[in-house]
Amino acid sequence: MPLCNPRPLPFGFGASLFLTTLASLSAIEPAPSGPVAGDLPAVAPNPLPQDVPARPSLSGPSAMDLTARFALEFFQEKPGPVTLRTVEAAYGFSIPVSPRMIVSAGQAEINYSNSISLLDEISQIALRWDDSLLAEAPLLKQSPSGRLLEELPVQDITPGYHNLGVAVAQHYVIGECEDPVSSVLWTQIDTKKSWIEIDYGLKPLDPLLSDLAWLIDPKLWGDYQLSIVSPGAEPTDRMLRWGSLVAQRAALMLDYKPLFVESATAIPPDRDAVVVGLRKDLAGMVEPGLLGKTRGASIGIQANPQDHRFFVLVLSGDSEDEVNLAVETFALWNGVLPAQKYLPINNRSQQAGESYLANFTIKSAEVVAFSEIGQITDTVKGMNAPAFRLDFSLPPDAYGREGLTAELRLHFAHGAGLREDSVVNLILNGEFSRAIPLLAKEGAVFRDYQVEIPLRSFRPGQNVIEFETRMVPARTGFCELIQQENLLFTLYDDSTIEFPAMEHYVRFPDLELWQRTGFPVTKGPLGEGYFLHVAERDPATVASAWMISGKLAQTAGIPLLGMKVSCELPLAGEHWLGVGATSAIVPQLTPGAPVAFGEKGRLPFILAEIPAARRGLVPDRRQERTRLSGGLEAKAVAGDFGLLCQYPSPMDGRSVATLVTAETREKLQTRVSQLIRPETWNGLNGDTVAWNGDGIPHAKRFGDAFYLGDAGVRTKASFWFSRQPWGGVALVLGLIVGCVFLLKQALAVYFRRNHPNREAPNLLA
Amino acid sequence: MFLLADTPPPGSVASDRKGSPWTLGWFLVFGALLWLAALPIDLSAQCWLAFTLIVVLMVLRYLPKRWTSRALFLFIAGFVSLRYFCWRTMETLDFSTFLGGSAGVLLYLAEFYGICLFLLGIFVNIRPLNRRPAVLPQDTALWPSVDVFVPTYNESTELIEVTLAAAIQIDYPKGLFTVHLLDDGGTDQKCHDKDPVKAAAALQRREDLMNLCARMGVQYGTRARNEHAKSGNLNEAYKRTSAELILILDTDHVPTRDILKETTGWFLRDPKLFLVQTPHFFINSDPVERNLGVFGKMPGESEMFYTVIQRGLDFWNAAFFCGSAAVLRRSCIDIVGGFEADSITEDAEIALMLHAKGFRSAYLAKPLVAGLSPETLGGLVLQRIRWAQGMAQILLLKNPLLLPGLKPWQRLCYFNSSFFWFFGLARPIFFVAPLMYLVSGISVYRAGLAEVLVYALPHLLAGFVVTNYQFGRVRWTLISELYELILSVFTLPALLKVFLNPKAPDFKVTPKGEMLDREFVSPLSWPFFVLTGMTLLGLGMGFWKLAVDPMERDMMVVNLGWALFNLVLLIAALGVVFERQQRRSFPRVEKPLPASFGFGEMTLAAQLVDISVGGAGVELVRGSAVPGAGVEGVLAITGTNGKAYAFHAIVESVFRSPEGALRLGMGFRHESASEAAEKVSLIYGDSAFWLAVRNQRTRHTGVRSGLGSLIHVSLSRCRELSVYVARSFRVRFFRGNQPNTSNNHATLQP
Repeated sequence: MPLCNPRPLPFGFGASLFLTTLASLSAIEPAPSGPVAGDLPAVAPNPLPQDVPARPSLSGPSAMDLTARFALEFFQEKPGPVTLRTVEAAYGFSIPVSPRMIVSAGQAEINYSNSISLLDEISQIALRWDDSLLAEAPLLKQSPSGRLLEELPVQDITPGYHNLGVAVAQHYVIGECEDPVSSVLWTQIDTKKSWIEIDYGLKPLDPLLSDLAWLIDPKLWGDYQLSIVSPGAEPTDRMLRWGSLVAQRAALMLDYKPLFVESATAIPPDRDAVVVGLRKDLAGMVEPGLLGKTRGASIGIQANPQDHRFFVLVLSGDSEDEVNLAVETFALWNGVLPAQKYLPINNRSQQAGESYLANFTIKSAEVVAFSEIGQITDTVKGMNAPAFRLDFSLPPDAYGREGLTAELRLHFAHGAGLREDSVVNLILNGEFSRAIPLLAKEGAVFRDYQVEIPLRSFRPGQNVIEFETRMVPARTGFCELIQQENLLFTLYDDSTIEFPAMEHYVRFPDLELWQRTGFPVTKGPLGEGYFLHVAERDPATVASAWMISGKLAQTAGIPLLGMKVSCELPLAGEHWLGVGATSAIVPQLTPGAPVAFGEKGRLPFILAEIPAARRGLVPDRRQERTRLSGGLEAKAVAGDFGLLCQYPSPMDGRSVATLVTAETREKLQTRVSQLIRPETWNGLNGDTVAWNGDGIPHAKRFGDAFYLGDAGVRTKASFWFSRQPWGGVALVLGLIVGCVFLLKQALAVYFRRNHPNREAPNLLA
Repeated sequence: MFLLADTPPPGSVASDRKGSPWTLGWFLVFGALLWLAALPIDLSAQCWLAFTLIVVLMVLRYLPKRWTSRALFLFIAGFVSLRYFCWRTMETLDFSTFLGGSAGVLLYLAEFYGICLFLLGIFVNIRPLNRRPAVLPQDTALWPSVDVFVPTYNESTELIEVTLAAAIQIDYPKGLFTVHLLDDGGTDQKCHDKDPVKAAAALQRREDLMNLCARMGVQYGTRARNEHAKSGNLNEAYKRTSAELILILDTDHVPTRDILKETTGWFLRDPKLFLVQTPHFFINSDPVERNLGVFGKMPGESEMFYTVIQRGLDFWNAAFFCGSAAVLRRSCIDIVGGFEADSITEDAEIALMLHAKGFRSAYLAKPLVAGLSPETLGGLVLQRIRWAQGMAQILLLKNPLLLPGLKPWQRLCYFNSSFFWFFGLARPIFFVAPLMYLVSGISVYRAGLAEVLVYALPHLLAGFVVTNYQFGRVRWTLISELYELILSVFTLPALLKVFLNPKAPDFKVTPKGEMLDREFVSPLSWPFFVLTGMTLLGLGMGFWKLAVDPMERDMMVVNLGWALFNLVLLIAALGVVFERQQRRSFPRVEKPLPASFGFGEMTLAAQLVDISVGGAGVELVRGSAVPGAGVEGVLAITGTNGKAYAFHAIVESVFRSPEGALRLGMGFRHESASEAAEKVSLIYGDSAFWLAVRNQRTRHTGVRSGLGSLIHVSLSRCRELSVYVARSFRVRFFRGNQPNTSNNHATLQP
């Protein structure tokens, strides 16, 4: 009998799936018995089941005994119930466990419904933890809804990723032939009601620098909070930048999981901390050994003296330049630091070889082999074989005119004995794009199989092409042995993808582009030309700025070493992001903003949610702006809302200004903490977004459009004509009329010169 | 007599430079338009643009045809086509396979040819000139002297006699013009041919024509050898004559009485004028018109050129000599050394050379000769091969784009006139290209259905409406394509010969006055049967693939549409290659004039219906007596100018017209020289009559109407063809009798 796996585990890309999954973990419901959040500004609960009072947090005095329960839907790539079909099927949820966690207990519950046509005697459901069977139960047709509740084997809950698997065997007849893919063979798992719960604590630490790779760990359950400590009352501009770089480095280590940051002047007792400052100012704050036996920049690490489950990272130097060197080294260091507690830094160049492996960005008019994007030669097998994934990025400001195509030249082989409806589906960013029929009955090897995909089907920034094989055996007769071992498909890694010449031209404001690609933060390789304006130096505002900079680094996939961070005002020619309470935003920064500041208004009530629109390499026309007759006042945002808006910089009218604000500093920090969560961040759109504790962004476009890019006149004209066809038609007709008028005059002159002494022509007689 | 003045005529204002800024401005704006035409935009924007412009075109069609609206119309259509061509160039060429890429390039070049002609056509016809005759001075002593050359080679004496009779009756002071018959059929070379039969025939012809000339007062001339064909013949006569102007008439071009009065005045007005060309007005049907049965309903094929295009060329001072029905200034011919030239279209070449030397030409769009088209498809093909080869020779040997002395606009006009004849290279490609895809799946055009709809369809629509807008009075929709299809099969190898050796082609005389005694399928027809078969096969395969392979639906639909379009033309072509009977060597001319027939003591009032030099048709007044067949009498006719004519005639048949009126078919008998001359004068002498006939033929026909009429007559004719083929098949295989599928009059094998 064939084994069908309708929702297989990700094919060789488990990590990437879980990066996505963990991005959602902050929204995971904590268990009823779980601890409350720490002393960061309160985070409003998500609309989750009633038995979940608060979000777990890896900080605070109660961090020792955490109990966290997560609905299984948070471990899915695409939420929704899982349906297991055919006589034999299985599905796996990948569960992360951090090395910092000591798990004391765990259990899982699977809630399911099965077909009433199944025979109890031989239909079963089983729950597995990795390869161990935890529980099994018959699938009863008299009682088609059931649940499996089972303790997890604590000894097997080790650091790493584990497979919580559900498998079914489903039959509707005994002793007779049955259709293995009969429509009555199904069991559905309710992933909202199914859950996994773990009781855990944090390990005591005696950390080395090399442990940083797992100390700031996306596999940690719950929100991750980090204190950035600087001695002194108010952070200087340099400290603002250092804190930002530290936050970016930490955020990058968390992959897509949000990083919650606080700004402190002393090491907190109950969380991880990074201390940054001059060696002389840190004396007494950290162990003397970490401040260096020699002079110069250094990185050191120790356990938090007040609670050894947390660590303290020290970035110091004898001068500000040396501190800067230590911070930049930490920010840029993408490898594993040495297994020691203290590392003197001589200069940054020794780390120059450590480059970031950010998402592979394909440049204009470039041919890239799949091997360069991380897809190695591989073979898949079976009717529902997992898909090959090709992850890559396009320049976020790429403009592709219609008609251009990206060309795939595929080298692949497929097995013999496939039915004629066997295909490979090309799924681009989740949407079907093309199909490759596998028609050779004897099997075949193809070289240079060309597939063209319209350039406009791609998105700026991150793209995924999946090659989803759907192979069916040639013989699938009723009650017949079905041979699946020949259902083979190999995709060779010397296959290539070629993109045509693309220009850089993009329409702003576009918060959707900003949240997805970071652009224009990513205009320079390391954020050069971008300015983070911090309105005030108070801890809440500073922490807000650092959290956003961490989020931007995550989005860009690189530490933004070139980004300026300061309380000063941005200059002309700089794209900037301003962070501050409404009252602290200086008036010079607000002209041109889609929201007027200073008076009351009704903004929250007229902002409607814009559905997340799929977009290609041109801005979506559905995002046309809305004109408002009344003034929009930021004070109206106060109350409970945070406000994010984007508009042309008043400094020069050509750069992009982005402003994050809320009524008070504390509200700002709370709202920014919400903003960096995926459910809010991913919903940014238009040029104005407001959100409150529920995290749902209300977005709209109010302002005028402006454009960024180095495109030539032709591309700009093409862009304009395509977006304003009536304007283009009018221009063409106008030019034709002008042409005719001028021609009439010119021909009259010609006639006088070349037809002397003749009667005027009766032209159309 | 008149003098060649060197002083620039008043109004030439060489110093008038006020137009320069306009021209500069125009080039700037036009450049911007070209830039916009090449601007890639989204399909949706292109859709708005293209169809908005098409709607504007449709609106402009119904506005009064003033120059401004006409120019707007042409520019908008040109812009639509330019956008298509830019898109075609940038987006649709597919070099993924060698075969497909090569075929794609050929198709692209064919389309490039079409677009070039389309745009050049707009340029040429931007402002057609409506030139009127220049009035001659009262004092006839100031009128220029004229030699009338009638070159002949193998035409019948009857045909020559008619033309000479008309020529000697030209209304011009007797001392100022002389008619010369230039006989190349009775040269010494011919009279001493090795074949005694041919030699005897040539001698007899020389004697007959000398007698004829002596009787009519025409100068007979021949020469020793038949060198350089018609141009050599003209050159020989040119050397031995001396009048200031030369009127050239082909043997089958019967002049009207006023031909010299209407044309020579321009030579007095413009001292730099070397040519006044008039239309070749044909009074018989060509094989396409005759075989489709549309003669008289559809404008003649030459009407487009002589009614519109030559007027457009005249505006640009590029109207050229067409070999006959034209007056030339001898002193200008002296400058280029006579009529001999490098090409077999020496007429156009001479005009080109004289334009390059700064002389001017004029075109008078008034029909002043009545000519005969080739009667058979073979004759038509022979004539067009000569033209195609000659114009290709001009392009290769005297490239007007490079020839020193020409103005830029003249270069474009001559290039247009020469380049047109390359349709023989382009047209077959349009027929084969869709078949490649339908039959073998080779794609020569990379585009989706949506792109075809927003780029190619507007271009095609623009092409149709522009052609109809410019030439709707003189050309039905698709008729140009039909002629090109029929001729391209034969001009293609002829053109290739010219490319291989530009000096190789020889002048071949077009056969005139042929008669077809029965219906038959032209021996030139097989390429069209083959093409039709291939197209039907392609359509069958295409529809089958459409049903079984929806993946390729878009391109399949496009190619099927294309092949269906081709099939329409092929069906029409099959109608054309099925030759109809033609019994008269002199076509009857419809002339509704008052007439009477007197025989014995009786005189019957009647109305002249039609007349030729051989006979006439008259309709009797209701209630009058009816003479029987064989009754002889005198047919009296009152001409349009009130002059009375009387001819001896015999009743050959009595029949009823479709309307029920009683008609007599009459033949002329016992003709005196003066009676014969009078008859020619009556039939051919009145230019106003020809003008009225032409205006009657040239009625504006819409795109749908013209297309519908063509499809209707083509299908009808194809039905007749299939009946004929079926009958022939029965005769051949069941009665052992072979049908006549060839014809002695056809002179050319494909």
